[in-house]
Amino acid sequence: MKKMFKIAVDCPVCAGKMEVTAGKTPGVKEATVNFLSLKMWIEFEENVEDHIAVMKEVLANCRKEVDDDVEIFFE
Amino acid sequence: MNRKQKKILFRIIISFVLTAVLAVAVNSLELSLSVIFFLFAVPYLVIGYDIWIKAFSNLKKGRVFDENFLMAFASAGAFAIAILDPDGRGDFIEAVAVILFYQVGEFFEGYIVDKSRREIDKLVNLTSDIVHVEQNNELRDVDPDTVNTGSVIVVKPGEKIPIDGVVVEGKSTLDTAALTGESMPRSIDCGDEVLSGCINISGVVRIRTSRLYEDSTAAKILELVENSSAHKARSEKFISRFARVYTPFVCFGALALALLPPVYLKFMTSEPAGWFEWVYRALTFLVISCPCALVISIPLTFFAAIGGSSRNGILVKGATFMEKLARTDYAVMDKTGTLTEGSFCVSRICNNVVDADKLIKYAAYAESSSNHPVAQSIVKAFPQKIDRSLIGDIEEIAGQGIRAEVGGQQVLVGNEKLLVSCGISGIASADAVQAGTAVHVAVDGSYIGSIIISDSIRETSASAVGALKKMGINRIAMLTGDTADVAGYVAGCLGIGEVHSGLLPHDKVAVVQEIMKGKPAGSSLIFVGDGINDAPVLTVADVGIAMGGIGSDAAIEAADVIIMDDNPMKIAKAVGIARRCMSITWQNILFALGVKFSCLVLGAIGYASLWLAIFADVGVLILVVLNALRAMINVKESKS
Repeated sequence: MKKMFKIAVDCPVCAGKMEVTAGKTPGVKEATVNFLSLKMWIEFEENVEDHIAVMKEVLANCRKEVDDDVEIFFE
Repeated sequence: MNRKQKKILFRIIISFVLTAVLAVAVNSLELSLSVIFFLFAVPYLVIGYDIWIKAFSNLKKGRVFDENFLMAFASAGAFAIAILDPDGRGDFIEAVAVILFYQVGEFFEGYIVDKSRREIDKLVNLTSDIVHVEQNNELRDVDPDTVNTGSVIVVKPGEKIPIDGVVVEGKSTLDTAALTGESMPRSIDCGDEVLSGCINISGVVRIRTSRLYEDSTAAKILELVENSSAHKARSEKFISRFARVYTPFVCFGALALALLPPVYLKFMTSEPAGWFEWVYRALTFLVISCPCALVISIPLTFFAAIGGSSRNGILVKGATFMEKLARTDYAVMDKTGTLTEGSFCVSRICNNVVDADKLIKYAAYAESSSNHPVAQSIVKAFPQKIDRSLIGDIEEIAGQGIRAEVGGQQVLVGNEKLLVSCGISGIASADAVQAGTAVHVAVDGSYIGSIIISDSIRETSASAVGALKKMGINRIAMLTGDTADVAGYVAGCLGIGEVHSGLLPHDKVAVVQEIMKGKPAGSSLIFVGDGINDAPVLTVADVGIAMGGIGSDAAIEAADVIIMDDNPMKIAKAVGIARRCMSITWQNILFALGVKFSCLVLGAIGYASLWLAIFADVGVLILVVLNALRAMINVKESKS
């Protein structure tokens, strides 16, 4: 299951860090971030039911690891 | 401009005006150092408070090489020198300027990137936000994601087709330019398949969707163009690696510059240590420690080029293929369906003893009930209606041709074998029929001429080959499953020197692999095919280009570059766009690195003030971003 989310982030380096951070979050199989189109593609693990819960975790991790003002729009 | 940007612009203006007023006031009034310090602290805090907040929060997370921290540190250092240095080397304006212009740079970066993002978005703007779905005889506007396959949707004039489907009611014309780059509108009617991303021009149409939104052409193309991170170009990777070592390198350089020379001077020589001078020089290092200009300009260049080429109906699956495409020095092309139309037609008549029209008429009548592709091409070449009452007995002889009674005459249409078996002589010799399949015609036992059927060469094929040669790609080969005669003829017409004929699909793979062994390292081999039969070869080549890929999932899967319509000229255009993209990339890398390193050197030997460092940093950023956008703008111009 692959989904696209709009994001808000200020610099390409931060976008790269978001990609790494999101990819490490449990429930995420693969994450790609495109800074220029401000989009994040998340491929969820097969057995994950609650995508929103995973995305909340992804956002929390990104804020902690990358920058306090990053945003992911998933609701 | 969004709210964040407006806010920062407001702060920039306030801080700038305050600093300017203070600069004049301090010159004309006699104020004590501490009063001046507190006065300048006001514009400094207005513009820099958030940098300090971010610097501390990052420091707590253990990130020392954070740009906010470095800028905060550099400006604090400048303040310290302004207060403490007895020679008055530093000044307060400079200290404020470090942060002020850093913010100006950030503001411009954000603004330009935002703007270019919108520009590029316009180029690949294929998707729709809402869909009018018909449910229980009423129209509802819904999110395209929620539309099921088989739903009936309504598309009004001026709107984009949101989802792939089949027209069930209405007539209209479509603008397919966004998909193919072709400006010729296409007319549609009931039963026609339509692809998302096209713009409906004239009438209201009702469409039964045949795919989900996310599987539709527009959504697929968009994802392909935007989600190309997996295919990062070498230069992109180089820069992100470079950025990781650059900042620490410059910071340690600054530290060394601030400590080593004064220590050396103090303890090893009789000269004064000059601490302030060296700390000041070290601060210029910190100001140019951020590699932003490079980090942002390179992906932006690729993105602009990918956006620009998709506007021309050329989809490039990621920056790495843009890079490989630019290094093309060997082009291998498939014949059928790529350089030729892929459909048969009558190319000429030869050895005819009767009128050409009459010859075609006999043949068309005889072949009129056959559905063999060759027979159909003959019927198509006869412009009048066929009067079926004139046709008597028809006998189709498999692998040979047809024997038919037309208007009371015995007509034979077929290959040499057929005519010979019926005892007819005087058939055209082999050299006269090199360019295709020959169909001989005989009436009442005597040979009257031959019709040459061939796959016609696309109008633009010869100029496409010419354009590639002009770009310095001289090694062009043609592969085909066709016979050597036909292949040689087509290659001759197009000016292609290297021909491999009589190949089965797996032979093509072997030939391409063989060629790739012999090519110089660092150059690329492109293979151009129709994307359906050539999928294995497309994956073997450095860059697989599929032609006429519109609506074909197989082509989109297998190819690295997809040419949406079937114009071979686009091959040269794609290479041109890629080369331009790469030259802009290298211009930016060399320019940005050149300026940064000159600043480092000038700063180290004391020739660069903080001012120079600030302007070098902001200036380089703006110039490289603007340069990056040329990758897109030029494409637009050359289209008109």
